[in-house]
Amino acid sequence: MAKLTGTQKAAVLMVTLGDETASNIFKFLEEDEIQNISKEIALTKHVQPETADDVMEEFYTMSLAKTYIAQGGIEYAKKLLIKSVGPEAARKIIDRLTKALESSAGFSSIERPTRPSCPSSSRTSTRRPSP
Amino acid sequence: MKSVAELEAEIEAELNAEGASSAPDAQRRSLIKKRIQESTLGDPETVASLVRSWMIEDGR
Repeated sequence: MAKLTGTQKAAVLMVTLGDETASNIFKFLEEDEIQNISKEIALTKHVQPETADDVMEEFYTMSLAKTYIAQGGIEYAKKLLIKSVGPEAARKIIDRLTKALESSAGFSSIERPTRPSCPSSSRTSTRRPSP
Repeated sequence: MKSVAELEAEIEAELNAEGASSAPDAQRRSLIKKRIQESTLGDPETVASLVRSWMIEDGR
């Protein structure tokens, strides 16, 4: 597969999955993310079948990795991924998911399955200062 | 939640059921597409978070 940026891969995935599926995914993306992907889709004249296949395969491996992480944690996921895609690809996938984990609240349930029952202690620090 | 072994067994079973022996790669990819579409219907937020993880790589 030609080296694609993440946004280009997202655009290829959306085109490959079709309008209906893409619009379901867009509902959970930020406006700037949607704009960037849409821009790439507009610039993409034709998606080579091999490129589409490679992008889908990579995405599917990531989704399996996320399942592995949910089931047994990062080390467990790494072990299973090394078996299926090799150490280098496994490292890349885990790095990518770890970065997503750090920057997204969507993964927080994996690390912290329970929330504190008392709202006063942990939420104080997230308050924004008044202007 | 299904285990990895169960997921893989399901894929294998579906491949066999669809007569994949003639074109296993094409069948597998078609099945992967179907899986992603199903995931998007069932849990679009997770699918979106995976798409986002690609975009984070671009340093947006």
